Amino acid sequence: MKRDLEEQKIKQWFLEARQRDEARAPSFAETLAAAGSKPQRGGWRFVGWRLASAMAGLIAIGILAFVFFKPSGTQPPGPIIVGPSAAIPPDDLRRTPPNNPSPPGAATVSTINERRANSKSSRHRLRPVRPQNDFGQAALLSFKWQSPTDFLLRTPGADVLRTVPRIGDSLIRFDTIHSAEKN
Amino acid sequence: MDGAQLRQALEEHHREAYGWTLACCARHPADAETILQTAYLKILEGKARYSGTSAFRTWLFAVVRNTASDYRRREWLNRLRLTRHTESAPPVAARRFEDDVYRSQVQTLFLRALDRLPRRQQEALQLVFYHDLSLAEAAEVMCITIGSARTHYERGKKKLRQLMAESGVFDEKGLGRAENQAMVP
Repeated sequence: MKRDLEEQKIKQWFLEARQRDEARAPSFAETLAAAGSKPQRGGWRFVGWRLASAMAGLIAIGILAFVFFKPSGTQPPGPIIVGPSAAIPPDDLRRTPPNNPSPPGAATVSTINERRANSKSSRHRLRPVRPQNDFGQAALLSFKWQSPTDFLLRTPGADVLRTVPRIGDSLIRFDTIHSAEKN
Repeated sequence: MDGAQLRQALEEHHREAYGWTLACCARHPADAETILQTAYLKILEGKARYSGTSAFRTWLFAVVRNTASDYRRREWLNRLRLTRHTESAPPVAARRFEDDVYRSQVQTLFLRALDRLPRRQQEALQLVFYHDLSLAEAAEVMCITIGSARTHYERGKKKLRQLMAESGVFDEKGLGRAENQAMVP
């Protein structure tokens, strides 16, 4: 009973609100005319959103391409330096295959890369072996090449400069000098 | 439904749709008109299509509700960007004048109490009491299950009664406007 009364009251209030709203409601023709004269910005906004999303997609693709396909010129040169300074044990160099025409001191880039990849004792992580390029080959050739003016640098007595003198091997006999002075 | 039929159906339900739009936008007449115009445009341009699976009124109310939600979101963004246009809200003096003319004091209290309810509860009460929809139809308009609609309806009624009792309007002996005039601000 109480519940019904409450509902009736609420309904009465809503009914009054409805009557008031209906009295204030604009006519259908007016609403339709106003709707028709409204500037339609939705289409432009939609186009704008599409353009913006397309731009964002292109930028994302560009960034990904830059990250994953960096030009090789930016990487530090890997197997260009060859020879005894390439951190290969001399035993390995001596064990080059017999069909290799190069001299033992100049291992080819491929063998160096193979050995680097196979060596387990390295403390540092090995770089992946990159395919050889022309630049690497040219560097290898330049290693063997000798300048035609090298003979100008060869001077008499150059061996003395490269060797460490020893005290016992001195050409001057100090004992004879001393005995002569005593006399 | 072709264009002429749509127009006719819209005209039939226009006043009711306006009432529902008012409920969806905190009873701001200017906002209500804008939302209703946008909803009509959506319907007449074919962006919202009536498939015939539900009653036309139920579908229309759902379209209005979605349009009002979009409008609220846009308004919120506008407020966030501090570019809200002043013409979207009517001048305060005009609104007060309207209130003085159109709203009785008990109605003012009632609408204030209604405004304090959560949105879903407001919608459930509005659809059932104002538009005489069944709970199933109200649930369809609100895009929720009938169980949820019933819960919102019951809670809304309870809270509305409580709020009105606090204001002194809802007494058990019976409501008389003359009895409660002193309570009305």
